[in-house]
Amino acid sequence: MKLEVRHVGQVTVVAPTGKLVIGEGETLMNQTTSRLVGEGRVHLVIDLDGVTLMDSSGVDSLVLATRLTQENGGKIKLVHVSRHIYKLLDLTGLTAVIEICLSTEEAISSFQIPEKTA
Amino acid sequence: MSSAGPVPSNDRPRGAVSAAFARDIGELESVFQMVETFLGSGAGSKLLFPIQLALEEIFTNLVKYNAAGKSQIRIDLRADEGEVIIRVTDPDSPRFDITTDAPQVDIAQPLDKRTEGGLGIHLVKKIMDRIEYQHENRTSTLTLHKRMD
Repeated sequence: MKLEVRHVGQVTVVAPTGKLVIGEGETLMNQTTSRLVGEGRVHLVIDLDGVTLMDSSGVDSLVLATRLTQENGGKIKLVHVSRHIYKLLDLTGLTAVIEICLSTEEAISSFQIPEKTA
Repeated sequence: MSSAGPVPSNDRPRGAVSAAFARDIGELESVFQMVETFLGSGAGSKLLFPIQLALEEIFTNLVKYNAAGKSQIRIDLRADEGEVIIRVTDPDSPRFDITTDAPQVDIAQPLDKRTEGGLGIHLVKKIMDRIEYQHENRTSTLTLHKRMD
């Protein structure tokens, strides 16, 4: 699995490509979200357009990202969720707790981020 | 995104394939490739995601929880009467019937209250249409059925 990260203001877009499953994919995703949150990047858009397969470990990586960002005052939003991945998220109860947006632009603009004080 | 709806009968996977894999997570790519080859690039590919997911979860569980097993894990894929039938055979394994022995998962629990384990088997049970388990002479055989329509 490959993973691209880009920053749009205070929001960070994380775009994995390939199989988000146990092993390399899960590890890369967890390391990336942990690093971003450690750097204070807690408003994450996760673009699943390039994800061809996700398993329970991939679901766990989204749970970890949700918990880490929430504990630090942020949240994650998902975009480009395929029918199969939506079903997976639904079967694991995540559609009730993770926001899903139609586009990256919508997800970025819908974050309500407080202004940073000097 | 895959298209919804039944798989056209003239474009369904046919026949059967079998292979044995070392008890190693690194074998997963070969397992995925086997499923892709069997389903083909036609309309049968709508089954790719659920079948790869189910096989990945089952194979991973066997590697993690029967690490001491010395035999290879055998996978058979077969198309029969409108179903894809997936059989996973693990010689020299303790009894573990996923239909009755797997821990229950409460997906209504808040994320920070969820306990680890069981999510993969929960998914397999939800996405497959029928599951059968046999354990004889220390050989576990799990048979998963996925309808093509």
